[in-house]
Amino acid sequence: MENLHEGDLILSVSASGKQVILKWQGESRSKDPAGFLDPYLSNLVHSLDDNDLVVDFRELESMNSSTVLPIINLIKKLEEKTINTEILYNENSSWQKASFIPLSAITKIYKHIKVVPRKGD
Amino acid sequence: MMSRIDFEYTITPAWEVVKTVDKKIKEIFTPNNDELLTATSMVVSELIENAVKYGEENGECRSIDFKFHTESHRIIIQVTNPVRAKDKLDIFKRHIREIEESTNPLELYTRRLQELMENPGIKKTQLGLYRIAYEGQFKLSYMLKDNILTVEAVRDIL
Repeated sequence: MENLHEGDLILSVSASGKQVILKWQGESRSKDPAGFLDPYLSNLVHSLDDNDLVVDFRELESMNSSTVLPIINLIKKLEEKTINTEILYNENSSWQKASFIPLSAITKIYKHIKVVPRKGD
Repeated sequence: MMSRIDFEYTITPAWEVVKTVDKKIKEIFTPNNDELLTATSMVVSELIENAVKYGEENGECRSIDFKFHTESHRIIIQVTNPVRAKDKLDIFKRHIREIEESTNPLELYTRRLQELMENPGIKKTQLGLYRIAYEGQFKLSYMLKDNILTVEAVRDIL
């Protein structure tokens, strides 16, 4: 799976054993991030087979509120496909805590999604 | 205690200006508090993004007036732009009213996330104002006159 580089946002994909790691870096400030993120992330989900996924947001510097929708779409697809997923955010980042704690609350009912605070690298 | 800043900028409604203004604010506003800078940057970006979207929907290249002002214990951000679409205005007013009536804007933000999660047909996030109130801890108000909307975001620094 190729990396995505759109504006100031970079998504990179790597694999480690049975685990695929999707790392978000830079800033997501596009007007319509769903326009390029939805198809990219949809392709990623389809390519996962029975691998687990780690979605690592810790190096994402900022995102606009429009970016939340493709993230939600990704979470729903992963749950539907029963892909065990850890979503990592930086517990030392005020904006990441503010964005991901509510997301953690509403995904508690999902069996395959865990939203996890971690130290930034 | 912060030093006084008065910054005004007239913006052409194009998406690129969101980054330009955000960068400028980060140059002139340097609090000893990362959370405050991050929150202010987010509020500036969300408000200008909204104004640019309204401007594009108007179909005419009207300018946006942006004001950033700090006093010793307060940050004031004002964005003024024309708005013609009644449906957009109605949504905006509803969100402001909900925020004013709420004692916990986190609940509004989380409720909207839940709506987005449960309704795959929704194409617009509409989280920006809730985010300003919840994550940014800014108070929002507005003035509307002759289809010109001024949104003001204020945060008191204790």
